[in-house]
Amino acid sequence: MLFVNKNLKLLSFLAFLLVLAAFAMVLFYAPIELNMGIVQKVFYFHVSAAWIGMLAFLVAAVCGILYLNKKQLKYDFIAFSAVEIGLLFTAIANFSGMIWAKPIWNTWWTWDPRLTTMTIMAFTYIGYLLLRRGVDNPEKRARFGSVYAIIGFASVPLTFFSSRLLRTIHPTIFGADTGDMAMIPAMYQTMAVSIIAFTVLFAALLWHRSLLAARESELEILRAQTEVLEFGEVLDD
Amino acid sequence: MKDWLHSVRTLVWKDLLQEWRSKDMLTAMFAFAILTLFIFNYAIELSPVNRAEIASGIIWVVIVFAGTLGLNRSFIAEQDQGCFDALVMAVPDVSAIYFGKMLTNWLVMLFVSVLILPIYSLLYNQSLFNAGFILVLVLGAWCYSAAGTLIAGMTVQTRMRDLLLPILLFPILMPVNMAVVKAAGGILAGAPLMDVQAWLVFLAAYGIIVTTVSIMVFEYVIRE
Amino acid sequence: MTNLSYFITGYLVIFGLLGAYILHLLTLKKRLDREQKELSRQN
Repeated sequence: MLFVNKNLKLLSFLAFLLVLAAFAMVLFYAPIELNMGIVQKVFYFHVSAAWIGMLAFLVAAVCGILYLNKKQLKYDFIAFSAVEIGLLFTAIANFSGMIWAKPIWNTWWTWDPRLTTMTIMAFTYIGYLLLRRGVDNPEKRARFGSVYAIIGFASVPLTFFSSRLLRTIHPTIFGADTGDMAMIPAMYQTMAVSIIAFTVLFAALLWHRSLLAARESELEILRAQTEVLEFGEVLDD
Repeated sequence: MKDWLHSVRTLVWKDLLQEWRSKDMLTAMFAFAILTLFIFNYAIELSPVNRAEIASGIIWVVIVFAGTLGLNRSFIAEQDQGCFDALVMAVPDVSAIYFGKMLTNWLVMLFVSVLILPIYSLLYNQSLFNAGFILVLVLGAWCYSAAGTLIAGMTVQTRMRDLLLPILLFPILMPVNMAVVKAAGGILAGAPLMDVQAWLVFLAAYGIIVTTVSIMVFEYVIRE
Repeated sequence: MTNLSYFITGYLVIFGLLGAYILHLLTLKKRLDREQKELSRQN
C-alpha cells in the first residue's frame, strides 16, 4: 500500500527541526515592524498556515480526480487526510489572524475576501467530513468524497473573486498594489523559511495520517469479516 | 445527440407531470415561501426607507430555502422506489439524468419565484417586476440548481439525507448568494444594468463552470 | 491586553492547535493498535 517507514521518520524529524528553526527566526531574526509592533510577527506562521490550507485542499481535489480515474483507495486515504489536515491549518490561520487583527484593526473579524473565503472553504470541508460519515460503503464513500472535493475546490476561486468584488482592508502582501506593509529582506527570509517549514510539516502529517487511514480501513474490513464469521458460528449452533 | 435531447425532455416532462399530479412539493414550497416572508416581516422591521435594498436579499433567501425543499425531493422518488437503475439504463448517457433533474429543479424554482414576486409586491407595495431583477433571479436559480442537483444526488444516498444537503450546498453557493443579492439589490435601487454587469457575468461564469464540472463527475454519483 | 500578549497568545494558539492534532493522531494510532490486537486474538 502506501510506502513505509524510515523516510517518514526522517521527514518528521526534518519537519520538527524546520518549524523550530522558523520559530527561532521569527523570535530573534525578524525585525519588529514599526507600525504594528511585535504582534505583527504572528503573520509569518499565519500566512504559512493559510498557504497550507489552500495546498491541502488542492491535494484533496487532485487525489479526488486520481481516485475517480484509477479507483485505488490509497488516493482516497490521502484526500481524506489532506482535508482533515487542511482544516487544522485553516483553523490555525483563522484564529491566529483574528488575534493579529484585534490589536491592529481593533476587531476580531472583518468581512474581508481572504478571511471570508478561508472560512467558507473550511465549511465546505467540514461538509466533506460529514458527507463521508453518512456513507457506510467504503467505495461509495471514496467516490462521493472525491466528487465533493472536486466541486468544493472549484468553488474556492469563485468565492474569492466574488468577495474580492466587494471591498477589502486586508494587507495585500504578494503582488501588492496598495503597499500597506513594506517588507525588508529579513522579513522575506523568515517568511520563506516558515512557508518551507510548514510545507514539510504538512507532508509529514499527511503521510502519517494517510497510513493511519489505510490501517483504519483495513481494520474496518477485518472487523466486518469477523462479524460474518461469528454470525456463521451462531448459525452453525 | 438527438437521443440525448429526447431523453432529457422526457425526463423533465415525467418529473413535472409527476409533480403536477400530486402537487405535494409545489404546495409545500409555496406555503414555506410565504411563511418565510412573514417571518422576515417580523424579524426585520421592513420600513419603507430600507425596503428597496433589503428586498433582494429577502426574496433570494425565500427562494433558496424553498428551493432546498425541492432539491431534497428531486431524487427521493427514484431512490425510494428503486428507479435509479432503470433510469441509468434508459438514457444514452447519465449526463442526461443530471440535465433533466437540473432543468426540473430550475423550472420549479422559477415557478415558485413567479408566485412569490406578485405576493411580495402586493404585501409591500413595491413592484419587483423589473426585467433586470428577473434576469438575476433566473441566472441565480440556474446556478443554484446546477450545484444543488449534483449534491442532492449524493446526499439522498447517505444516512442523513435532507439534513446534509444544506450543509454541503450552502458553502459552495456562497458566491452565488453574494452575486445575486448585490446585483438584484443594485437593480432595485435603480442602478442601470451596466453597473451590475460584472455580477451578471460572474453568475453566468459560475453556472457554466459548475454545470460543466457536474456533468463530468455526475456518473460517479449514481453509477454503482 | 498589550501588543506583546497578543503575540504570545497568537503563537500559543498556533502551537496549541498543532500539538492537539498530533496528540489526536497518537491516540488514534494507539486505538488502532489495540483494536488490531483484539481482532487478531479473536481470529
